[in-house]
Amino acid sequence: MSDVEVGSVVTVSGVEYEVQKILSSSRDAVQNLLVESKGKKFLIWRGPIAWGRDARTVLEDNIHDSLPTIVEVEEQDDEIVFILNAPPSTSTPFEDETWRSAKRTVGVISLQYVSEGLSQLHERKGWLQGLKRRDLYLDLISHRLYIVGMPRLTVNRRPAIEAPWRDMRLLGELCYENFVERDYPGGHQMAGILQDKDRLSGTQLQFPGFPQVLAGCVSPYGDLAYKDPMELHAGLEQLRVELARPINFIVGATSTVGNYLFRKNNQDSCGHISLQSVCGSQKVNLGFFCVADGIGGIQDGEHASRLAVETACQSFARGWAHYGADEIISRPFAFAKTIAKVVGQRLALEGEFAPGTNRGGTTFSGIVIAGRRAGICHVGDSRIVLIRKGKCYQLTDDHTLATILVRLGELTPEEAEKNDLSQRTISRFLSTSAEVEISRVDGLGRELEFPGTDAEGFEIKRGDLFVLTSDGSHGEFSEELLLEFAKEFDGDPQSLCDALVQNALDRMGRDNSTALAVLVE
Amino acid sequence: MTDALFDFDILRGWKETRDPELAAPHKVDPLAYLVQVVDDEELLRVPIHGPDVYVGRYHPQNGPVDVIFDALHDEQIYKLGAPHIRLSCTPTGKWHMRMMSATAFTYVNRKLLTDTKSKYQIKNNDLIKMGVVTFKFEKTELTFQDWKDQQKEILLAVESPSLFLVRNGAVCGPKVLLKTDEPTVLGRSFPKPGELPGEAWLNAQQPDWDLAGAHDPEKKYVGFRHCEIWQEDDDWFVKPITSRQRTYVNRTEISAKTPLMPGDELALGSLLFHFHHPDNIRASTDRKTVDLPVVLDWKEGYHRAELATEHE
Repeated sequence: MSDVEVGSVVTVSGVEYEVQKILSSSRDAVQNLLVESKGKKFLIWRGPIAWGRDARTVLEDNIHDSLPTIVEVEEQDDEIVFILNAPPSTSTPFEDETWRSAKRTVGVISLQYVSEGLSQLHERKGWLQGLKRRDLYLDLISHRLYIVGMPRLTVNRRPAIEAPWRDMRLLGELCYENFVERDYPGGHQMAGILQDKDRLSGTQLQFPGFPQVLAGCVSPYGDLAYKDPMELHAGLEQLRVELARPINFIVGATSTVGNYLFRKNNQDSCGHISLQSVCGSQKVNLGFFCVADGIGGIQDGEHASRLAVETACQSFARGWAHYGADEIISRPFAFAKTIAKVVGQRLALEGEFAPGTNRGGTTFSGIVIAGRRAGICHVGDSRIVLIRKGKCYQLTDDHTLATILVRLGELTPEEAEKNDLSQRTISRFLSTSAEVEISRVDGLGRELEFPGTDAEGFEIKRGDLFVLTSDGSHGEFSEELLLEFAKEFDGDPQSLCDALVQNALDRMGRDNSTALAVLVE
Repeated sequence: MTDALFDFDILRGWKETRDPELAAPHKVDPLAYLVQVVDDEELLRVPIHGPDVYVGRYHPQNGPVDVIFDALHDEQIYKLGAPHIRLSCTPTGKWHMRMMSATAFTYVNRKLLTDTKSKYQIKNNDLIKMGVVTFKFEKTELTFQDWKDQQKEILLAVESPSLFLVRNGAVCGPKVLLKTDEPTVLGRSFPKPGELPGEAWLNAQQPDWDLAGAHDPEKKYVGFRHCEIWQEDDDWFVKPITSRQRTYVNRTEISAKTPLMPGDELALGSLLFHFHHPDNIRASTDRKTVDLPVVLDWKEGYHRAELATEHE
């Protein structure tokens, strides 16, 4: 029977089967055929007795639907022959091209399905000693991968430490190829790529679960390595959730002129724009949120801050329409900075061509949230604060004389806190006369160490709350109060903003006061 | 950092013309460098391309500065004078330094300088501390004569009245040939009619020399329609157009029609230009040593003797 070919007929226990496809390679010790008898498809496995007994043990009692079920076994002199049920007719032999063009959710669910089967096998101490692509069938309709061959199977109660990894590593490779639509670069290179975040730029960055899965499958050693297919299953589950549910924003904003005794008009502006990109089955939400605190005469500051916010939102929309979500997700810092620079130029234009009504300028602090990544731009003394898991991170450095004097060691932070003049003197802003340099548009604060940050952006998590405030607002509350409010108005950014602004009013309200809060969920 | 940015034109909704020549490398070799080294790591290397330069921070009221430090932190810039020092080199290659600001601290080899009138000799590898930042002064192999020849080569290749961009003390390459029949407008591109909502600039004419392609800190103080230069008989004149940005001739601010002589220095904000006139080559090739305007006498309730620096 070693010389079978497609179309020939093999007989097992007196039943004739027509060979439809030879699945095994000629080097395999076990022959694997797809056959048909009376309109029904079966698999025939033929191999050594020892292997066959192991296979029989692990496949007993329909172990999992991703694995074939035994119809009949026949032991001959020196070999054993299995008749097994073939996978459903909707499935086809695994093919790289089909796999790569499959939707990511389909890919992930299929991998989950087969990892369940692997887990069952391992529980029965069965080890495939390396799963190969030709051992797989793919069903894109029901999102399933089937194992149709296990030519190197052994049962071993005390397997080598690498045994689980040998069976799972192919699934990591497949995950990569489905997501990136490129050849898996090989284990060593992949380990290098995973070390170097920049090289994982692009679409993958919005799925933190993706590098996790790769890291779990790339090597049998280390803390991240999956020891059991169900760990892989959980990693894939995380990825599936990330694919399925886009990050949403809940936005609240309040702005007030302050106490009328001190201020005649509101020079603060805040605004946001949020858009959804739909690409295939995948939805990505993107948003830009900003606060601007106008500087200058009564009319001018108001005009400058409003113009800044309007221009920023328009620029965001233009950039989004041209570059698309993926590009913004990969470089949110650069995107935010570009917006700030464009806003600065817009103000300079206004200043030169309508100098009569446009003096002064505005502070400008904004955040781009794209998928699971964010980037900020910041000029002036407005603030962006992130509240994550009950902790408060001030993401921006105040561009004030106070900050400069503290950095120079001429004031202690405590002294600076009380030094009203240096607090009120701002060292950078978007001006209607001089256009701020791009190198002077800040991102995250200089000393801030923030998890999940690289040169191009930082990761956000569900539950993150970003609070953008003008100095009239944050000048009146402490970190403790902010955390207290965040807890009290959990899940309700609008009430949080109202409370922050009301707090400023209660404490005299000398200045315009603005708060914008974005809850990521 | 800037190379990874997004296209400004896309985000702003209108196209800025950026002359690539304005971003090209300097055509004259540097005579020296100021090198900021912290913990054995070279953070900043600023070339000095001319034999007489003002170094420090640009402040509009005090006139243009040849060498500015764009990459420093806020607090470091805060401690810089505007300008801080003047570095000059003799034809024999000796460098001197003068403090320009009485209120900003200057140290040479850790010694605090106190006299704003004296010239201090600076040698290779001397440490010059301006405010809170220390630079090492590094001379290059280029001789004064070589430098002069390089300048000449660039200038003499042009046979009509023109303006040359000056960077860090020397003519660096980009230029505009001045129109003789109508004014030449300097500025940078702005939205054309219909590109952006707004009326004010709809009918304004785009500048003849578009400086939008200059480096960010250079064009920061350049107006969109900054100034115009024209010829009347054999004389040349310059007049500011915008009131929002400053225009200087020989480092003195101008606000009305002002004559421009061959070899004069015109500045748009901190961006310097050399006025080249082929009929007066001698004046054209030697850079005028221009002093900042100094206060000779000033009384406001009390006498500020320390500011009454005599003119050299």
